[in-house]
Amino acid sequence: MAYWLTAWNGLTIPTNLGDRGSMDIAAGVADAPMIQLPGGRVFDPLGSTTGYRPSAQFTARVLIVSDVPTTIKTVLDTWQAKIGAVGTLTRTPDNAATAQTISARLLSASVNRTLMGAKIVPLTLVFQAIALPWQSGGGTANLTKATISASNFTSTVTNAGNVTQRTVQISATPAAGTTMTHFQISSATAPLLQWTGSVAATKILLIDTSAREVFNDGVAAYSGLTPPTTSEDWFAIAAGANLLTYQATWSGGTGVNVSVGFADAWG
Amino acid sequence: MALLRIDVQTTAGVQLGYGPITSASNWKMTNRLGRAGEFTFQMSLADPQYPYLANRVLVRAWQLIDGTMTQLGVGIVDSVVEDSNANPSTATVSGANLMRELTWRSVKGLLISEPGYVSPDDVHKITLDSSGSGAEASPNNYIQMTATFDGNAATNYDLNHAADAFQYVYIGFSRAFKEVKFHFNQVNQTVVATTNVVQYFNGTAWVSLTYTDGTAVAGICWKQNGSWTFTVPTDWVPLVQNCIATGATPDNNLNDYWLRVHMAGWAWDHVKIDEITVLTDVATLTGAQLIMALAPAGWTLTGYTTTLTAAYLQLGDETILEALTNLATLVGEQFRLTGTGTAREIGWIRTDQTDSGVIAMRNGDPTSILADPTRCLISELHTTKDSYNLVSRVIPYGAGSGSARLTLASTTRTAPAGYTLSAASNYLKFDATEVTYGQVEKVQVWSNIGPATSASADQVAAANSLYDAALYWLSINALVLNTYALVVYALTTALRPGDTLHIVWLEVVDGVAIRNVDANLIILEAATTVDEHGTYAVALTVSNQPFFPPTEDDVLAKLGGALKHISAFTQPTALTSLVSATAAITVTPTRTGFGGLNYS
Repeated sequence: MAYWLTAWNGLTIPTNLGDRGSMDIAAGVADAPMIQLPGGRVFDPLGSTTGYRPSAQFTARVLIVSDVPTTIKTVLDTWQAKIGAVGTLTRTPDNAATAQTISARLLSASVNRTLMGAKIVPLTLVFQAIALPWQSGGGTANLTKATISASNFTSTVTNAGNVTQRTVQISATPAAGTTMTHFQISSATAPLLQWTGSVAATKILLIDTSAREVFNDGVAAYSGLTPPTTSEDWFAIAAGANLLTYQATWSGGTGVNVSVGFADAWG
Repeated sequence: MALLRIDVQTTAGVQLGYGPITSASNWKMTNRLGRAGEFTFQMSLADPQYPYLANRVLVRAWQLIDGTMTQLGVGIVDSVVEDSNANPSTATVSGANLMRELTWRSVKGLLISEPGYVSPDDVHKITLDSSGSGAEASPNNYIQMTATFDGNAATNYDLNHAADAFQYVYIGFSRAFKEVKFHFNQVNQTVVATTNVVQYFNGTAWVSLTYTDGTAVAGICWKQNGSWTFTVPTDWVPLVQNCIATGATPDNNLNDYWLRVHMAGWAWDHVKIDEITVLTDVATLTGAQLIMALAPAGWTLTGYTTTLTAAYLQLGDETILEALTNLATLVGEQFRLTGTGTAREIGWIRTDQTDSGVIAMRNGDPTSILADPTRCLISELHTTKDSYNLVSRVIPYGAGSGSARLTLASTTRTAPAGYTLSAASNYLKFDATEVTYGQVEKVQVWSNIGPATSASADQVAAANSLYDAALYWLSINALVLNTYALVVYALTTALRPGDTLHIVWLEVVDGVAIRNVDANLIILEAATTVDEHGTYAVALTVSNQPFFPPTEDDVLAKLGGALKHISAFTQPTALTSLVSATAAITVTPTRTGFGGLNYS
C-alpha cells in the first residue's frame, strides 16, 4: 500500500476511486532544472556541465507489485528521494552484451493511484540525459598511449560503438627533460585541434572535449587552444577504426606521451 | 542549429579561463551605422567560466553557421545582472561593442585642420615718419600690393626702395602663421649685403622676430625663392592694422596677425614679387585620421582615410566617438565598426553604399534560399513613413551667442539646384518640399562650428562650414524618412551597417497589392540573434536615408555636445572685460527696437 490523498485543510478527500477514479500522489519535481540551450542542448546547473549533443528524456512506466503495502511504500519513497539527482542510467541489451550507460537526472517519479493500487502501483520515472550517446566501457576503454618521438605520429583507435563519440579526453605529457610548445591532433573525420603554449616536463596538458576545458598542469589553459573552424566539436572519434595523427613541437628529452581516452558510443 | 560558444577574453584578446561559456541560452548583438552597438546574453551562474566574467572583459560569441564557425560579435561586459528568482539562477550579461572604447578618450580641444599655404588677407606698404614716432609719414600713404596675394603668379609687384629705412611692408592673416613663402618674378637686384628686419606686434610694441631667411643668398635678402620660417611667438596678438600702432585712421579693418618688414642696410632693388603665401591651419581631408590618432592604442582607421570634403572643425571635450560623429555630420559621410576578431577598426565609408548582394524576400522556397547566400527570407516587416521631423528650410547657427552667433551671412557658397540660399536672411531652403508641404523651418545649431577669430577670413571659412553642415542636414531632413524594420532568416551572408539590402515584399489581398516594397535600402542597424531554440536570425533596420530617426536620446546627446563646446571657442567678448552693472537699466519703448523695446 502506498499513499492516498485523504484530506485538505480539514476537509476529507473521498477515496472511493470507483471504476474511473485515480489520484496523483507525491510526484515531486526536480529543483534547478536543466537550462535549454540553442540546438536542443541542455546545461545542467547542478553538475555545471553542458551536453554537447542534443539531450533526451527517457520515460520508464513500470509497476510496483507486492502483497506488502510497506514494501511498495518503501520503493516509492526511495525513488522520490532521488528526484533531481544525477546518476548513471544503464541500459542492457537483450543479447546480454555489455551494458551501456549515460549520465541522467531523475526528473520525476510519479504515481497514479488507482483501485488496483492495493498490490500494484504504477510508477512513472522520467530521466533527462544530459547528452547522448550511450556509452560502454566506463569511459576509459580504448585508451591508447603514444610517445611522439618525431614530429608526426599516427595511431589507430577503435570506437566499437555505432555512433560518433564526441567525449574524448586528450592528454599530452612531455617526457622527463622535454618541454612541449605545440600540440595538435586530427583524424580523417575530425578537424584539426591544436594547442600552443609551454608544457613543462612530466606535466600534463589535458583537453577535455566534453567539458570543453583545457588545463596545463592543472592551470586554465584555454588561451592556447585553437578550436576547429568548421565544427563545433573539438574532437570526435567516429564509429569504427580511426587513424589519429598527432604532432608536437618539443625540445630536449625523449618526446611527448599522448593519451586519448574515450568510450564506445551507442545510439 | 548549433550551440553557442562564448569566449571570455582580456581586452587584448587573450582567452580567460579553462574553456568557453557554454551555458548561454541566447545571444543578441546589434551593430549600427556610426554608432556604438550593444550585446546581451543570458547564462547560468553555475557555469564554470562565470567567475572569469568580470566587468570590462571581452566576450566573443561564435556559432556554427553553414559549416563554418562564425563570430557573432565581440562586446565589452559592462553589466552583469544576477537573477536569483530564476530557477536556476541566471545572469544577464550586456554591454556595448568595441566602439564603446572610443568613448573612453576625449579629443581635448582638437582642431581639425592641417598646415597649408594660403594667400594672406592683405599685403601693403607704408612709409613711416622718419622721426621714429611710428606714425605714417603722411596720411593715407597706404599702398596695397595686391599682385602679391591675388593667387595669380602671372602678376607681380615691383618693390623698389633704395636705402630707405622707413619703408615697411605689412603682411597680415587672420590666424597666426609660422612661415612666409616668397616667389619672385625678379629677385633683389642689389649686390650689397642687406637683411630684412621682421617684426611682430606683441600687444604693446613691434618687436623683432627671430627667423630663418630662406630667401637670402650670400647675405642678400630676397635673392631667391624661399621662405621665412620661425616659431610662432607666444605673445603675438592680432590688431587692426595700423590703428593701434599709429593712432591714425586705420588703413583697413582687418583684425589680423601682422608681420612687418623693413630693410636694414641697403636697397630693395626692384624686387618683383609674384606671390606671397603664409603657412597656417586650413581645412583638411584628414579629419578622421586626426581624431583616430587620439583613440586608445590598437585602434586604426580603415577604408577611406580621408573625407570627400575638407573640414575645418574646432572640437571641444567630445569623446573620440562624438568627434567622429560630428565630423561625419559636418561632411555628410559615414563610418562603422569593421575588422574581424577583436581588431579595433573604424571603417570610414564616406558616402559609399555598397551593395551587400543580398535580397530579402517575403516568398520563396526555404530550402533553395538557405542554399543561396544571396537570398534570405523575411519573417516580419514593419514600415514607418515618418514626416515628424520634415522641414523645408533650415535656419542654421554656429558657435557664439546672441547677435554674435555664426550665421550664413559670410558664406561664399552657392546653393545647388533645387535649393535656395538666403545668406542675408540666414536660411537654406529645399524648394520641392516647400512646394509640397509649405514652409516648415527649423533652427539648427552646430555649436562646434565657429570662427577661430573674428577676422573676416575666419568668418567666411566658418560660414562655409556652417553652410556645408546645413546643406547635408537639410538634404536628409527635407524628405519623408522611410524606415523598415524586418527580421530575416536563412541568412548566411554577414550584413554590415552602411551596405544596402534589396527588399522584395509583395502582399496581395483579394488581387490588390496592399504592400509593395521593391527597393535597395541602407542598413542602419543589424542585430544578430540566436534564441534558445538555436535559431539564427537577423533583425534589421533599413532606411532610404543613411541616418537613424532622431530620438529623445539623440536630442539630449546633442544638447550635451553643445554644452561641451561652450568653452571650446574664444568668445567675441572676454568675460573678464564685462563690467558689472552699476546703474539701473532703462527700458524705453522704441519703434524699431527688437521686441519693441530699447535697452539703454
